[in-house]
Amino acid sequence: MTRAQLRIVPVAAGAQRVDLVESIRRAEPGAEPRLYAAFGPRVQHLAGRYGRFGRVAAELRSEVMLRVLTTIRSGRVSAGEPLAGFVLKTARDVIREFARQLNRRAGPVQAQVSSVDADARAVGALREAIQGFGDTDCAFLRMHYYEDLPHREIARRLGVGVERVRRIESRTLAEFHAAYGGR
Amino acid sequence: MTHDEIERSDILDRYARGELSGTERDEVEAHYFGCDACFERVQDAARLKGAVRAAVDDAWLAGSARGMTSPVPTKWAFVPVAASLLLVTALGWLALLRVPQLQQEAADARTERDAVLARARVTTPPPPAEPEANVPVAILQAERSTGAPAVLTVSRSASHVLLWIDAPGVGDGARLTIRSAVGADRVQIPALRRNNEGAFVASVPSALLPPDTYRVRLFRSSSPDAPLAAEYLLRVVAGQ
Repeated sequence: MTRAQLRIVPVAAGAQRVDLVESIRRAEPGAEPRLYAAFGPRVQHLAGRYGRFGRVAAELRSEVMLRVLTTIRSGRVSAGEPLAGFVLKTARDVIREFARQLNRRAGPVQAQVSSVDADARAVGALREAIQGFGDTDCAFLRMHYYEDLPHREIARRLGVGVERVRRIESRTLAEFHAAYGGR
Repeated sequence: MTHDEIERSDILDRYARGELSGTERDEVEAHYFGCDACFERVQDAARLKGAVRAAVDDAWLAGSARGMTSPVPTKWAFVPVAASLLLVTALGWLALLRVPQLQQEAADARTERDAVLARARVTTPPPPAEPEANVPVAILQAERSTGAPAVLTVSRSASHVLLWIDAPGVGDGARLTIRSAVGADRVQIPALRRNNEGAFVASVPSALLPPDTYRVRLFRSSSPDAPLAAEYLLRVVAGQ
């Protein structure tokens, strides 16, 4: 497998997304699905960090996107307002409401690192990527993602510098990303 | 917090581990909501973490990947065979069960997206291009909630109908649903506010209300679990 680099793309919260607000307001075909494609996964990821919403997770994401769309369509989002910030604020509000309804923590939502469920596609990608990994890479994966050790401690245990650990992380993530995207 | 600052630091790693202060966490989330590269990285890290945990728990990732292919003592010779059988079983499970499940989940996600977009279109219809005469109006009153249905005659030329709803005791932020006789919600309208007369007024595309009898339900807030405040019967009949 070729070694891949993480693709760095320009920040997309600028002009393109300002255009998206205008496109939605003008009811241009495809504008609303573009908004959904851009922010639906982010809302879902954020919800996953703040709690386990289980069966209502899809409903939560729908509610966020519905509020965002209706607010844009009614002209209550100005073209100059960062769209990403508006979606994030809406998502936090809805997550808080859902959390209250689920009798979870009252008051401000606290971040939590919830246990991570593996999906079959990710496991398959790891099986593929690991074929190109060395012992140090595998030791890093275990220490970082299973034992939750910070970079500094991993560097100490491996007897290498922190910069080297960061390079291992970038490379293993890039390999995993390439394998995941190719499935 | 700029993209370069994030690139140069290990802040995404600390975010994934839940080690950031509230302010730092808010800044990271504000950044990746607008930055495709950083969101991709956050997602990849979460996926990889889940996969590594599964791999270690299932004992195929130790400290070394070489352990997967290292020479095996003779007395353990059955292990590769058993592993192969397990792998075949897992692949069979993937092909027969999991892949169709994933396909179904993807289809459900598309359906959900379309439903949201449809609801958005209903909740905030674009203003009509032309003035419209003889707009059908139904007045739904509390005393009718247990009586005969309100009758709304909708002509073929009407693009929208108006619902005027008297609901004493129900505050702003109410949600309206219109349910057909077969029990499916055809319309959802959140965030209703009372007008100067104390009533809720909603405009609904007439195409969404073909002749039938509907249950118009008013909930006390826009949240999915809000209690029902009132229910009205509405019969739509076709006019000229």
